[in-house]
Amino acid sequence: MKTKQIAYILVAVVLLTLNVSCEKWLDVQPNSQVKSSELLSTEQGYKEALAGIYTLLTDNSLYGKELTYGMHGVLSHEWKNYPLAYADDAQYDYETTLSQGRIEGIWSKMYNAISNTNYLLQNIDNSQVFSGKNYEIIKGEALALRGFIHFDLLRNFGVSYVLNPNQQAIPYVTQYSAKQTAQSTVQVVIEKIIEDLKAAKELLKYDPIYTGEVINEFNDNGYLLNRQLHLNYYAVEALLARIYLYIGKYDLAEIAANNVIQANKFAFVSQASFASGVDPSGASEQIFGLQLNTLSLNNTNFLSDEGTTTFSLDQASKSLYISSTDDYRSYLFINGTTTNTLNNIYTLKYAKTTDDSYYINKIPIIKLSEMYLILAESLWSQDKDPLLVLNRQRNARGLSSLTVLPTDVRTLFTNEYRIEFLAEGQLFYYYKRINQEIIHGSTTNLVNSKGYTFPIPPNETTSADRQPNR
Amino acid sequence: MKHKNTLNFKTSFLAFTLLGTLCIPKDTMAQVPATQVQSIPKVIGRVVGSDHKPLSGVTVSIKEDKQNITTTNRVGEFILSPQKQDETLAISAIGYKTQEIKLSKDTKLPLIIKLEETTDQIEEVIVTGYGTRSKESFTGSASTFTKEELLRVGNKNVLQSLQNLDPSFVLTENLSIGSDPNALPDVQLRGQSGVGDIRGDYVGNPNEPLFILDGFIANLQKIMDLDMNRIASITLLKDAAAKAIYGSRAANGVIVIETIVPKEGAMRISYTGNFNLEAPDLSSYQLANATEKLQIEKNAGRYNAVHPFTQELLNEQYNQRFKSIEEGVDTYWLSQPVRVGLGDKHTLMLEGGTQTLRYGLDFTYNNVKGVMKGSNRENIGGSINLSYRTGKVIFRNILNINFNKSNNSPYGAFSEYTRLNPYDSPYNEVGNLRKTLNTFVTSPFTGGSTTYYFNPLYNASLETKNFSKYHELTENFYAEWTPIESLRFTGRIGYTFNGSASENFLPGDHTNFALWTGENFYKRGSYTMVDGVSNSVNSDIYANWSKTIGKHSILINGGANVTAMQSQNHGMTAWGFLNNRVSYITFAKQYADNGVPSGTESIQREIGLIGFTNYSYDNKYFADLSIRRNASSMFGADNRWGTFWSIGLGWNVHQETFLKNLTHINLLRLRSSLGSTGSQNFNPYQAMTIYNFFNSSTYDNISGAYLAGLANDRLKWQEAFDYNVGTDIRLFDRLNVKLDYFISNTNNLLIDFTLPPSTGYYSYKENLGRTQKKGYEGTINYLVFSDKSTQSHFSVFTSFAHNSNKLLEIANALKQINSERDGSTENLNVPKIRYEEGQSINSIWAVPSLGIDPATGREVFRSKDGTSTYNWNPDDQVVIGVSDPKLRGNLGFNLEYKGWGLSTSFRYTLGEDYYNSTLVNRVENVNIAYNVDTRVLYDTWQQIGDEAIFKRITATPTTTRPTSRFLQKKSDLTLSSINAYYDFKWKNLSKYHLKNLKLGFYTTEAFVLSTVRTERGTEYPFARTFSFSLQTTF
Repeated sequence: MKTKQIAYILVAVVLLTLNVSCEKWLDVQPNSQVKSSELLSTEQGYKEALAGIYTLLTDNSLYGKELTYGMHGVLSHEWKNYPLAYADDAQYDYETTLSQGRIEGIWSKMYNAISNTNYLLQNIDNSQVFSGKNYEIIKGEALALRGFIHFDLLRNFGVSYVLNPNQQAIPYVTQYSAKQTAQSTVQVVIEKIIEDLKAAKELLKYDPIYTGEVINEFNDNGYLLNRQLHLNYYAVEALLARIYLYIGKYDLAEIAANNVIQANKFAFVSQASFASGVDPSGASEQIFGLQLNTLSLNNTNFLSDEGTTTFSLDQASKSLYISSTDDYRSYLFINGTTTNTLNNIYTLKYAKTTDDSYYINKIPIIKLSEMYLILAESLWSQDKDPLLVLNRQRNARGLSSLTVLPTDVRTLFTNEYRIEFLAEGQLFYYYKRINQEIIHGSTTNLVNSKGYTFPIPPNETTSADRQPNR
Repeated sequence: MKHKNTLNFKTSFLAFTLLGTLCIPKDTMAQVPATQVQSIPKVIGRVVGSDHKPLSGVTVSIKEDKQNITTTNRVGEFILSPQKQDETLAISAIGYKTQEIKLSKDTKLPLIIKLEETTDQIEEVIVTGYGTRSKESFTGSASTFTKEELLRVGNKNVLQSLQNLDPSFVLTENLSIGSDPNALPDVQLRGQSGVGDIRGDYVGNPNEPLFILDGFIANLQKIMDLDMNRIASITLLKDAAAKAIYGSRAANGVIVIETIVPKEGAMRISYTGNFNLEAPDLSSYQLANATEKLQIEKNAGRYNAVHPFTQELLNEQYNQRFKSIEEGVDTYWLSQPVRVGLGDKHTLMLEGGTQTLRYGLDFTYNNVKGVMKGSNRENIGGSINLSYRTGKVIFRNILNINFNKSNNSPYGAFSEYTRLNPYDSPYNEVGNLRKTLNTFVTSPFTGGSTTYYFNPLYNASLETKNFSKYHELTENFYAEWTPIESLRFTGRIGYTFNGSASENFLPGDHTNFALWTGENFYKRGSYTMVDGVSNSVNSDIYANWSKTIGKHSILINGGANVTAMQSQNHGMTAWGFLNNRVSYITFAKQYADNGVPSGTESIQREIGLIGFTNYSYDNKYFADLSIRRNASSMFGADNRWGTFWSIGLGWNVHQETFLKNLTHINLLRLRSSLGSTGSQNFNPYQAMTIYNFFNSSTYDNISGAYLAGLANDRLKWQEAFDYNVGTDIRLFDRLNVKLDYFISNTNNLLIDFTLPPSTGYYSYKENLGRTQKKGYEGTINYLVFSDKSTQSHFSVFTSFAHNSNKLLEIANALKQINSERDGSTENLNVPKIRYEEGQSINSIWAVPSLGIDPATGREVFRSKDGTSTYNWNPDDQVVIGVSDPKLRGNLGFNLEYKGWGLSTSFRYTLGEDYYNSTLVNRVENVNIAYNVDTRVLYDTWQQIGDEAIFKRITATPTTTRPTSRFLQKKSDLTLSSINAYYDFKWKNLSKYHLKNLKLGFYTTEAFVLSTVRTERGTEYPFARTFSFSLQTTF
């Protein structure tokens, strides 16, 4: 009797282990790709997944081209000359194949990056693989990324906040799933972004750039060395400043911008660095920049004499930007040299630096100068005097101080945004924020034609239930 | 020293015996009873066949005494000395039923033993791959064919022969690959149910049936290269009751192939030789000759221009062509790359052994030479087959090795030759091959374009390489244990290794690179190398219990199997081979621009639990039940295990007493079944959340990872639910009829589900969508005449099949694809596959045409609202036909008279809707820069008032979008094979030391009669095959 029982138990145990090992055996590990469970079983895997999200953002459909000097450069009429393929964008006609393709690219690639972020966030709390404060930093960055990407989606696909904060805009996606997320209004999206960014800021209090911890190549292979290439603590603060200004919370914008400036972690580029071509993109003043391996190739193809589909200025439009030869930024232009391009003036912002190490391949996303401009505009909007702040920014660019505020302060800001953020894509958002009807270089009324808001692309509206966003 | 000892011993033994015999006292001898000696006489006998002709080589043994064995001599006689009384004599020979004769003292000598042939024995069982089942009580729909039947309808390969035997087994006609010996055909069993390869989700053909060779999964390539002489039988399992034991892989049907088991006896050597001749069939082409072509170009306005300078240039070019025609140039390009291919195939087999240990060895060499010069497929293979039987245990081992090398023609694609203009000569004045045949310049000004005509024959004269090869090793081991008669345990393990390689080398001088100039000049020439390895291990164990108690017969079978497969390949491309003489990859200047190594890799694992049972009552009523649970690594983690099952019921009406008296009804069986199976011909990593890496960029010194897509954890197999009813009838011992009707519903069709991109992805894989196919099939054969004594018979056969399919439910993704395809600018001239609920997968969509307007030469269409229009609008497309034939099948006869035999087999299809793309591409949509069909000259609209079939042609090609004007009804009759032979069994071959000899002649695909005229074999021509075969045994 007893032996029989033991036999049964043995059989049951064998069957159970068989069943368990069966499942394991059937769970094959591909060689050519990595299963997510495999990748996210190590800290290194999380670092790679995070680096992947940043890399996704450097795609030419996003910050690698269209959201910086490409489509957004055309939309803000920064450029005098641009490829024929962008003619419809210049007219704010978003229904043609080419412009629709670019808009769809922005929508789908941004959400793809968000999905990658969500997958990482979905798994990070169940992982006990982190050393030091890497859990906090990686999670903080991921939350910040989610907020950051959604904010730029909102600036593209949601109506200007001043126009109608209760207009339906974009879905704020927080899950990796085939389930569609409902649309939210501009106001709600902003709230969710701020919520994510605040959480990120809290976690990023362990960020070495904030704690001042000294990082060298030996700590963790220097993983936490280049904080400007990540959404670091100050980048989140700077992003908050940008958002508060966008929604007219000037007091909060003032505090946030001040926080970044007061931290003294970032420095304006020197005249020498501009003049010698060491740091044309202003690496030292980037609070957050993206690293694009192919930046100099893109520069050659799209922003130089050697390219066939290029973006450039001419003498007349350049003079709009550079009013004085004292301006250090005047070093950042070069004339075309071939017979066809003699009148073209190209920007050198993304040209290959003469120094390969620190300055190479960086696209500015949030810069120190923007903090000064946000601070100044916040002060001005609260009827405080922005002159001191404005002059600090002007002096940093080699311009003399203004003694008195001009009557048209708005034009002062507009011109400063135009020159400061050339080829960075911020000018269009600036115009949108203030909802300017007619902008320089275009006769279209952008407000009436709804040119500030992209239509949600058709492949989204056909397979999901979406309210009008414009 | 030892030798000497033995000799001494022998001599002394002999001496002792002699001495002993002499010295035995007389009385001792007398004590031995005399009767006892007489009671065990030598058994003398003669073995004959049913025709009373003596049979040689028949094994005769004493059943109780295995060592006591002999074989019959040339005239069928044998002598055997039994040791004991009342023993049993066993007489056995291949192809005959084993007989046992109980010996007694009354047995009359010499024995005349007549052996009965066992020709129809194999038809009585169904080989399911998990043992054999009696046909008498099998509810499934299956057809079995023997080696002889396969060889009767062709000697090319198994697939070709099956197509001529069973109407439900179809090699889909591929007009482009023609008779390319290296192209794998598309195989379907009972039509198609899967939606074609829409976005590359499937691995290979989604409708491909499962092949089981000696119990284990084999791929199509292996079956195609399998020597037909090794085959014992092939069984097609068609419905759920037959195939459910193969579970998630069986939805498309299962083809079970068993190779021959060596027979015991003295060593027999048999040899089969085939000498094949393949001749190109170019009869479907009707291309313009030089004069006609130039006229067509002129009519189309190729040499007309407004600007006088341009006109002058065009005149010059016209005159150059005209002059060469005057000089007698009229090149028939089609004949340039083709040849008559002479191939040969040899099979040598050895077999024999005792009842305990049997062995079989075979060696095969097969060289198929295609009709394109330089193309061939060579197989060298061999196998060792050992079988050991002792008491209750049987071991069997098959080791097979195959080496294959396939060369593709250095002459390139046949389509290149059909395009070339006949007024160009491949040779220059001194008889050397030209590299550039001609050029055509449209204008002397900038903006004018130049068309170059390169000579593909020049490429063939270079040292190019284009081949693939593989070597494969298969080791299968079987063990069987029968502790008691009703119970049997079986275990099998199989291992397959396949190593493959392919190379494609084009030297810099190849015309592909002729226009690479400047810095690209040094990159001319390319070399691509790919190599791959795949392994698979299969194993299963099962138990089989069968018992007959009174009128009840029960069979229960249960077991488990495990499968693991792994494969990978990698390749690279190098550029820059400027020297024609070096053809080795290391001479490359560089890798391909921006090139990276390529490769694919997959791992698949599977576990299955099988059980099936059969019950039959009094041989009248019977039922089958089978169930399989199986799990695969390919399925989503939440849906790992699937259950497949089937139920079948059958009734042997002829066993009923009310029919027993009707002697002309030999067989009347009704059977029906239903059940579910799955198919999983999709990407093995489809259901996993996978990260890919950015391989060309890093972020902050880290190589970033990104999600490859949105994984579906619930992803599972496609499920087919089959219903089948059928009947088997045999009347007057002459007429055999088998009819089946089926409905198969495929659920959970694996398709892309379109997602809003805000989820981050455009689509993900979902089990959505349903298709239904319905069909019937039948075979009838009638034995017109039969005479056992002369072994003569004449029988006719015909078979038919019909199936149609319908999309019941499709996902939005497919709708999306429809609009994507409407918007696409590729292949504008062919009807696009569109998916619409309620329509067949094989629907042809086009805009209804009202013909060619005689006034303008333009086509008039009927738009959706009924109005006439010149404009082609995709929204006006309707279903104009379905490309499934109304009926397809085979017919033919088999005749044998005193050793002379003749078999023919025709294949037919009736009433297929066919979109004639030859007419579109070669007549109407022609690019007159290249050669065209002569109908361009005669049937095209030329001037106002012409009632033409084809619209007007202009110098710049215009695209004819899908129109009902080119829909034709297609019916075909193909003479698929003729086989004539003479069997020397009526002659006494022993003086030539031969046991038998059979000489045969085959011709396959001799002609095709079709109601539609279309170019057949566009990339590789079709061939007519003639072959001689010789079969003999020593």
